[in-house]
Amino acid sequence: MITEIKKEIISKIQKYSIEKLLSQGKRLDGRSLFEYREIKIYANPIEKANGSSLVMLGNTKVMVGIKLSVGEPFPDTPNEGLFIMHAELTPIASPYFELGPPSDYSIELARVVDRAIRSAEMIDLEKLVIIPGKKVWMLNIDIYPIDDDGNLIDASALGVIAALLSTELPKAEIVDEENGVIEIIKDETTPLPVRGIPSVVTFSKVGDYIIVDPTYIEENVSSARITWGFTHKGEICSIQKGESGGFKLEEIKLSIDVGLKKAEELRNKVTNQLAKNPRGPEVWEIIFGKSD
Amino acid sequence: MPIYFKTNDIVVPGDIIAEGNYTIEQGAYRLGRKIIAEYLGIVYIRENKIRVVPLEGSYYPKVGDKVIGKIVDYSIVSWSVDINAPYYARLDANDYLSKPIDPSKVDIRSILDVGDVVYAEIIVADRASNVQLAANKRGLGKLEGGILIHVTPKKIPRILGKNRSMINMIKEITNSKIIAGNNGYIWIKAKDRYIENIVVEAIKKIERESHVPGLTERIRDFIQKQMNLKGGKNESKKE
Amino acid sequence: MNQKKNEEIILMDENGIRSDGRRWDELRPLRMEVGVLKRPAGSALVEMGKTKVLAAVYGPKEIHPKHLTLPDKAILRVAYRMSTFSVEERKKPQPSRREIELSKVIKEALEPAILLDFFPRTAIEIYILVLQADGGTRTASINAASLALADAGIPMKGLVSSVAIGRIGDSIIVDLNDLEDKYGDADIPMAMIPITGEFTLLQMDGIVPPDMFEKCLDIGYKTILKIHEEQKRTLRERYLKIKEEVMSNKKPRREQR
Repeated sequence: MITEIKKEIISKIQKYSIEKLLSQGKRLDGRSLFEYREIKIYANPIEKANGSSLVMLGNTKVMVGIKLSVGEPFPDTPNEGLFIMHAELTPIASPYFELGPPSDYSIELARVVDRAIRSAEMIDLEKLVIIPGKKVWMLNIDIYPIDDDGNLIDASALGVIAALLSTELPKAEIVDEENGVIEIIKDETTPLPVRGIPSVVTFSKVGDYIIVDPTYIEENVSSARITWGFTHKGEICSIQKGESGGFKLEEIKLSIDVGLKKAEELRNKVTNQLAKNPRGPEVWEIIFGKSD
Repeated sequence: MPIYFKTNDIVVPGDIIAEGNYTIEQGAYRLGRKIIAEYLGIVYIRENKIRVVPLEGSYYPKVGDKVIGKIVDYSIVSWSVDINAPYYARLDANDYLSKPIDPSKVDIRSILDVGDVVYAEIIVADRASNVQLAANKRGLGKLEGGILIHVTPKKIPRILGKNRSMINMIKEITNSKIIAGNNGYIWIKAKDRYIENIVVEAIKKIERESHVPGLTERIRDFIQKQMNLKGGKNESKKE
Repeated sequence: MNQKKNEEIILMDENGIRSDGRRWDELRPLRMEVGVLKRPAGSALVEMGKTKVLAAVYGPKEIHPKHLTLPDKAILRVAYRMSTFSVEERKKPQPSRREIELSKVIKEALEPAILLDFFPRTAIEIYILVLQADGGTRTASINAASLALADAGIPMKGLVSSVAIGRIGDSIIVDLNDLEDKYGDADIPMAMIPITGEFTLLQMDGIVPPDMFEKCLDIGYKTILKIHEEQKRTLRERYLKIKEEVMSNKKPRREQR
């Protein structure tokens, strides 16, 4: 029932081109080995969601939507709110995704991004409690890649972070504490309480070279990938090695060094993009090409 | 006989191009007296003939076409080739080599392996999706080195130019080898990567701007300029 | 969390103004864009008011197992899906019965317009993702899918255009929003191939007397033609834009492909 994602066969000519360029420190699209593609981040394109984002990482595009609901906390964490992350890899994003129950790749994607956000404690879960032990806020964070040109993990992480930063919590008033009755006042909102912006950085191994932010073609000729989660303080908070190859010790250390620098760049990128780009319905003005 | 568009206009599916006794060469159908476009494309009207050339679309295999394909699978005596068409094509070992092979003695992957690129001719293409290639003629065969790019197949005629004038011009100025398959794959091999990139940019420019008049001049100017930039950097381009 | 149950919903006031400020025959703001995605053969994004729908087309392509294909023409497969965050209450990701039914009726609305016999033994696949739902998602889906098919270079008799017509009391209304869909007196989604005049989608929810229904069809016909013009303009504009930029020697603004 777990399906393999079918990979595209890359021609030998292209593989050879890629490796030749890497030996000169360059990639097919002109980037250096440790350069990210152009990143654009837009907040709240979906009014009906409590928080949402659209991220463009080169040609890769991901939408993230967050829906809030009120529920019971887990019995072992009565003073914490909850969040659940889910990813849908649909044929909209790639001809190699199929409709149906989540594949192991889509589950891995959701869990890798979840792990980074959760370990970094980005969301202040204690501030999501309404009535301790009885009523807490629950976030459903849903990741929808809509165009796969590689590195869905980092694009999805940026999308989740941006969506969380633009989520508004409605006011919850306690009507009857003992019986757990509350009233939600939709029009009075406060920003979702967050603690610092984490970063997720993915590296691929192509031949003997380590590159950051792989495109779709680079992923198809890579032997392995490694994804690092960093907190806003520069601590490592999550790691995932993926695909069927392996990394040597020096390669791992190199990716940590580079990863830390990239983490800071990504963090700044998120802040800058959210500050300067329009948000809400105006995002669609840009998509429809009316403004730049 | 009324006509509602002129040559080089963009038409969309359902556009009524004309009414009356016109001959449809391609890309349109007749509904009563009306001639209607089937594709998003450019319309060409010459005398009584109407042709709509689609702007996009996958490649539809035709006997006699020469295509560039990628080996994606194999059997004991043949390979499956991705030629960017709705169907994979088959290349039999006997149509690749000059003499027949003995499958018990030779491993087919030692001749052509998955990922190899071939330039071949379509020898069979019938409506039931049976497409066969042959590569045992001069000029055909395995391609190595260089770079491979992909454009929408509909633009290949523009990239070749009338009597191959466009592609020959690019080859001459850049001193490169260029093979453009009818199926939209183009192989380029030049002295170095920089020149290969110039050719790629020129081809992409043709793809984007093919419906704007004055194309040949623009492309020539573009390549000359890029080659001169290079010439300024290191040694001169041509002997 | 929904407070609206305690408020009265006014769908149309005494001046004939609807809940979102429109008159009976006004379409919601309509925006369309083609070629928005890189991976599919064709794609389109359609916005009808707050409803936003993305469509992607793949093919014609071989599919396996081969016995699913037809010997004389292509098969068309359509999947309509709503994102979990497209509606007020989060929707579970698994396809609902509604999504499965809509996939079928959308397929049957588009199929008559496509020249399927050009590509025997292949499949043409259309995927629709509703990013935000505010009424009329199936009509927006059909409008988007038509554009995506043209963008993919698939030969068609003509485009398919769609809109929902409805009723509030004695008033016929055009292009229903979510409130009108939920609380109005009738919702009639329809689609037509303008070049042949064939209606290829016709459904209804609610009650309408027969003579009023015929008026709805007439109004639907005229409205569909307006939407058709907008679709054609969107397709043409994509290539005209490039022509203009080249002519005036400007650098291209955005490279989508």
